[in-house]
Amino acid sequence: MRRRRRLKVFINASRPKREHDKMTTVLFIDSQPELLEIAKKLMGKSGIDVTTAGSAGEALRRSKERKFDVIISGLDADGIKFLKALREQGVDSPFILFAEKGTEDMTIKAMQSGAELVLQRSGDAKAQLRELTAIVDEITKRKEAEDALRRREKDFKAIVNGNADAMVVLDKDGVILYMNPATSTLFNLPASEMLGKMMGFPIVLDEPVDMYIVRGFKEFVAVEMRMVEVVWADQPSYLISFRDVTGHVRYEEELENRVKERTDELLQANKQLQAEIQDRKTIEEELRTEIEERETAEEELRTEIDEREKAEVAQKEAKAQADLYLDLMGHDINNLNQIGIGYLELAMEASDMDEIKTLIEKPLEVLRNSSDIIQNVRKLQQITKEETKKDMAASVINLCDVIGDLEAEYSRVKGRAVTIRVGAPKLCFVKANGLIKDVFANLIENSIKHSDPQKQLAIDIIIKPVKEGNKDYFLCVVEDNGPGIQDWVKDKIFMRFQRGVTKAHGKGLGLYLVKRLVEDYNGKVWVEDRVPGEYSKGTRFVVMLPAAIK
Amino acid sequence: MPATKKPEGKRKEKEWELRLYVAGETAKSKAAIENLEKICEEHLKGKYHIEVVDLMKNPQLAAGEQIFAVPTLIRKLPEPVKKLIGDLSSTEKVLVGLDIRPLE
Repeated sequence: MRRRRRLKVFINASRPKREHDKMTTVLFIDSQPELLEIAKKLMGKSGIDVTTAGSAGEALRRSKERKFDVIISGLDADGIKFLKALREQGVDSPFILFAEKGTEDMTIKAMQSGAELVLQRSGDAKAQLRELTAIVDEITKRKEAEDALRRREKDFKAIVNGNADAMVVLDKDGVILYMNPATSTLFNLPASEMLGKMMGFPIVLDEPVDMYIVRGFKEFVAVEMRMVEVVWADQPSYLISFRDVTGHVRYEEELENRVKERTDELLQANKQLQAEIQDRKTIEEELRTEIEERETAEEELRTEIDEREKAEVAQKEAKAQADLYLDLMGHDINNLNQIGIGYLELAMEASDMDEIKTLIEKPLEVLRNSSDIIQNVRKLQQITKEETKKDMAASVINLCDVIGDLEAEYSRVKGRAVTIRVGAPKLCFVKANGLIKDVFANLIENSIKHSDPQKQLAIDIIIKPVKEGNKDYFLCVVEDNGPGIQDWVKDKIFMRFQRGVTKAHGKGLGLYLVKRLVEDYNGKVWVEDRVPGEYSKGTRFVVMLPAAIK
Repeated sequence: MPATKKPEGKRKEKEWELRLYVAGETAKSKAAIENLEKICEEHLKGKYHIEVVDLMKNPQLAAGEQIFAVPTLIRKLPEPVKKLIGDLSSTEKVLVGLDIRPLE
């Protein structure tokens, strides 16, 4: 009877490649040396290293020396005894009983003792040895696969058991088949309360799944669930892991809170910013209005300036025209006056009649006065010009010379007894120009003109240096013993076309001209009584002029 | 018995008895409930009854029903009892888990 146990062969694509370098080793025990010889040769061709032994004792010795991949025993009744001895010795190599007379009883015993296979011998030894070679190869491959699997299982268990995440193996119904120590810790339940219980068929769409586990059936713990499909105890199963993410969830919540707070802050800031922008817009609008108003005002001002400039130009033109007319008239009228004066003087000389002479004297005097007015007007016109003013301040005049000339000139006035006395240093330089002579000529002429022609007139001219502040001046006093000037008239006499109270006809512009000239020389002029408080005892004109160093 | 369950006598027995365990009224819980209702309405119209149990409100119910994780969906009927855990918003997988559609 030929019995052969069906061998289950693992075919695993991921199985590590057989270590071909290592030859398969077989211990062949048989009492027939010829068979051992054939086996060694035949199996050797297939790359199997065969060690032979003629007896059980020898075989036990050999198997002590080294480990064989497969042991083939041709010992019949002793075969089982030998197998038991091997197992007792700790040899676990697959055992093939190559039995001479294999009975069913013996086969059962052999299998119970741990034999891998019982093969009954037939006539064709070679064919049977080839079959044995194939079987050895098959057993070897399976052993390798089993070893690899065992190693993997060991590694897997080491990984799973050492993992900090809770790992659970569930069957297709979700019943817990296995759990690692971390599972007990996370669920706060002993393995005895979990194994064999239905946790549930895991549904995972996208890993990880955020969910809760119910710790000790009381407390909720946030976890991430992951899943892989595995084969567990030959059954398709699910290995699921739970990772405690409480800390992570808390952190996320905190982060969310912080983000919310920050967002609120930003919103608030944004609101303020918007308000600020609005304010700024309002201010800008106001500013724009102000600028527009200012521009309008500027435009108006510009127009006004333009108009003023035009007016100034017109005024200048008008003045130039007036000057021209004044020049023409002054020149022509003066010429006509001179002609008139010439004829009247001739008439005076030609006439013997006193009445006629008296009649002629009046128009002659009027014409002379007229000429004087014209001359004074022209002088005023002259000093008004800007260039003349500059010239006045720049020149230096010896006042003593000027006074000396005037003394000589007015001491011999026709028909008048005039005494002029001068008290002055030899040199008295003042900052003035040639027109200074007119100032003093006017003052002397006034004295003469307003005095009683029947009386002796005495005019005193005194010049002396004085100091006012830090500046040097020459003080020139012109005083007379004439009728004097009443107080109420004193402050009017320097005004334009203001005349004194005497009947004398002046040139009108005389004292006005004096004041203008003295002020242009940066000096001063005033009038006072010769004897203070008694105006009728004579007049005193005081002229103060800035001294110059020559 | 969960507090939310209606008395047996007043309710007609349905072919499909489902009980969903959730934790709090979160967006995820709501999504799971809505999805389950949608699936049932589509595939088990008129033949189902869903009971929702909030374990935050009734934590004592967890131990009795051996609820290890939430969400958990239990198919009480038809027999045998089935339990599902995880992402119940996945229609396809819930159908497979509840055995509403044969496994392909």
